[in-house]
Amino acid sequence: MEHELFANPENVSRGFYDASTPPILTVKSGDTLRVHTESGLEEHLELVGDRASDEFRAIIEKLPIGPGPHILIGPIAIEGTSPGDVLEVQLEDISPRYDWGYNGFRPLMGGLPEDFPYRRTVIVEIDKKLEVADWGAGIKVPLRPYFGNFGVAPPHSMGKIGSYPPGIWGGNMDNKELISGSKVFFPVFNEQALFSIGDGHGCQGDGEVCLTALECAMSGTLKFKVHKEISLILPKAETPTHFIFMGFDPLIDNAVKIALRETIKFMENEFDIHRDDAYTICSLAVDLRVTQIVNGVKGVHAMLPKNIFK
Amino acid sequence: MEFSINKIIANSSTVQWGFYDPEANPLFDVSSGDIVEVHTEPGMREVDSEMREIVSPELIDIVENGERKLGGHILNGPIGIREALAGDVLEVKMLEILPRYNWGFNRFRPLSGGLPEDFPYERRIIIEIDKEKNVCDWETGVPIPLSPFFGNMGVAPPLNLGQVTSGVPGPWGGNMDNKEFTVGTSVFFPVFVDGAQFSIGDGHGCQGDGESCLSALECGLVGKIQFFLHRNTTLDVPMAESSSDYIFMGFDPILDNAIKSVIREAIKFLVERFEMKKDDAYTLCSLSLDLRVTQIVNGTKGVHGLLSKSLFEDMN
Amino acid sequence: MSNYELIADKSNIHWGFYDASLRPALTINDGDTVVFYTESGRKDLVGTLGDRVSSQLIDIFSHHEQAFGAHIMTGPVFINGAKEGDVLEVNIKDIQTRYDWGYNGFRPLVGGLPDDFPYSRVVIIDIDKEKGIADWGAGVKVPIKPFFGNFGVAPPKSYGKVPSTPPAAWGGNTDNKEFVTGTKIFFPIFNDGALFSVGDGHGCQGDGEANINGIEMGLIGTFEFKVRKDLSINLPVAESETHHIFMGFDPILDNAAKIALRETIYFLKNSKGLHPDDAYTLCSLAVDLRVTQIVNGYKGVHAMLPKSIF
Repeated sequence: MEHELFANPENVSRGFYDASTPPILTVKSGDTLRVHTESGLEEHLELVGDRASDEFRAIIEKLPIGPGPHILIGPIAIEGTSPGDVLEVQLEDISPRYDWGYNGFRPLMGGLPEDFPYRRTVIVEIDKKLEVADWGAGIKVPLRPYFGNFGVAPPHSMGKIGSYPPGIWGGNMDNKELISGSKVFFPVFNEQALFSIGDGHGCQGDGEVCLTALECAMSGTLKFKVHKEISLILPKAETPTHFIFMGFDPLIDNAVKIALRETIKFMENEFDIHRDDAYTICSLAVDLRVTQIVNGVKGVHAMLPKNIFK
Repeated sequence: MEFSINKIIANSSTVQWGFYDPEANPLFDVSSGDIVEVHTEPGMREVDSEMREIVSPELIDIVENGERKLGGHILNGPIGIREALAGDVLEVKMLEILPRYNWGFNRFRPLSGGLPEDFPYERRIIIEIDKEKNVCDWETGVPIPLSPFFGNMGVAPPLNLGQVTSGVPGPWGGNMDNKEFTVGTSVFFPVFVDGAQFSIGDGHGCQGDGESCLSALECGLVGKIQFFLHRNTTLDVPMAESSSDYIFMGFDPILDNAIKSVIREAIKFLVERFEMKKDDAYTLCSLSLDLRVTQIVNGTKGVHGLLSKSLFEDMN
Repeated sequence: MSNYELIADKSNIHWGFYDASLRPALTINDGDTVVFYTESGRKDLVGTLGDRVSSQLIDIFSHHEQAFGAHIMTGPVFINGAKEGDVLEVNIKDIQTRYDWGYNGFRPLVGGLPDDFPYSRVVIIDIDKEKGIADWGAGVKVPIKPFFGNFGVAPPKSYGKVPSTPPAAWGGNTDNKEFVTGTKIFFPIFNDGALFSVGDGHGCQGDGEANINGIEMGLIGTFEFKVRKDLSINLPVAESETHHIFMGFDPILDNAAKIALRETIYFLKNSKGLHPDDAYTLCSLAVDLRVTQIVNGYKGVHAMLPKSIF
């Protein structure tokens, strides 16, 4: 069955994940959902004036914000999903909704807080035809859209958590590899999984170094599949060319180790490779990327190429 | 009860230069309760003209004829403890520690130490030790009181590690550089190989927590250490006990991680020894566990936590 | 412009260190090209490899002691006209594999996951030069993409003899898999003549070099040298066909990431005339942070700035 959701004050969480928030839609495994998200804070509403949609305005004016800033559509209940299952989300047809987005940095946050101890926000023009973005600095960057923040409801015991960090539930992963054609797998902690999504990124470099990417409202098609035969501790992903494993920690060094361990475990279980050989393969063929360094809890992802397993 | 006293004076046949070895044979064996007197030498790669005037002939012999493997520390031993089996805990008690010579040295070099960007050159100074006044003096007008301890001591590591460098601290002990290991303190080690095979060296005349520049007051020491074997308990990582505190240790290249290890060790101890609830142990740590930076210069850094024994007088 | 050849043997290598006081093995002029034939090996593998090992490597093992680090460095090469304060541009014209074997090993206490692999293991890896793949019988074949893991100029004289293990301002053990044929690397010069050395051939490697080795093997590298008096840098920088590459080295990855970022921003400001705020934003949108290696004490992060956006 096909569903569609446009972000509005009735179907979004503004800045948090919470297992006790009632779902706004129920779907079945195998269904598709077309989402149209919104992105921004009060200051962006002011900057863009009447380029802002009515729904975006309504969300900012009606809903309190916190602990995080992200506008997340959901929760979406997937029937027949139970704790211990794995939820697969396939992503297709991701594209910016409007002809504008924004980027900003501010004091005490981001990759180089000592070097940029002040605030700056720019509105970025999005050219959907030429697929580039331009904020008037003399360079245009190519678009490569994806969603920065999505996942399942965290374990009930964690209560309401901010949308800022990534974690075992997914959340603010900001992983630029999760573009159209990719699949992301989440461990399920609650009945019906309770999935949410937002934080459209028009483009981003590994690291997301200044604090934000090209933040913009985004449309995308999701397809849900429930797996009962596998189990996960951390989210992982798959593209046509790579298996992707993630690690999250306030220190990149620690996030690296987590991502590496996930990669080794996968090779052992999936391809029956001895762990010494898996470790060696990591050294020879797995690329470690810095996902983001700006969300408190940082992220590293390991890219394991599929072509070596022919 | 009579305990036998053995002596090891560092020379080219009584030391391991730069490593711990799970397969090393001991110089001799002792039993639980025995005392060993060790006369150690500070480590150096070569004896230059300035040093040649003051160092002992044994040290010259070790440096010029010995084989330096992996690390730089000259370790007296191994000493085998007869009844020790893998899985036991070996207690090593510091009965007496005194400076051996009237000199020591301190050195830093490029790419190492706490501030390699700020001090990208080599410097070694010789420091006078006044045994009577118990201070050291290097003509800066700032004499520093001595508080001698052995920076590097431990048991043979697990077999799967093979020979390991003396340069880092780890589950076998090694280069812990913990200034709390003065007279009156006992250090407890997990035993990995039968006989334990204990070694000791790297005398420090004094040191600040952190050992910031790379080295402390490196000097020869004379120490009397007493061994006790414990079988009713287990350890993964060394811990210590002074007259006033329980001391927990953590080792990791990142201090943040070493700190977590220390807190976890303290919580485990409180839960096992005093049957505290985990949440209460965590809270007690926050209220009473003092975290100190042991050293930041050995690649693998060290943090130790001090927990006052007086808190538990009633429970003990 | 002259062409030279330098074939590693006991007379022209230094094993495990860099040292400004080494006598040059070769003297060339600004603009000349040198073809280096490097060696890579371990004494304990000689028995297993038998006659696959070259006589030069056997000779090197019997005449030299390994000091500090593991790398057999060919050089140094003295470049006439290079003065302290200049920059050495090294243009990698070609890299070929030299032998049909390499090796990969890990050992206790070092590498990316020392707690998980507290024992030693080494494998000999067969190289199929024609097909361009490597195989050690683990069920996977990895494609070859050779580069030199360790090269650079002599460090400042005041450093004395330094281990070849860390990457640093003079280059050293950068282990950067991007340094393939067609890449230029620029080094700050600390001594007259520059005193360039190269070694540590890698058949291939993943970003991170997770277990401490790539495929360690002898390589043939054709290097063109130019003295640049118009440039001044503090750290090495690189330029591939598609990217500008900036590097950061620190025992903590978080710190290495910041250094690489700052180098990138400095370049964007000075060479591209961007305002620092725009440089920071551009980094967030288009610069990818990669984990170069996590195993050399001083870890490495490199920032990839695509040339196409200019």
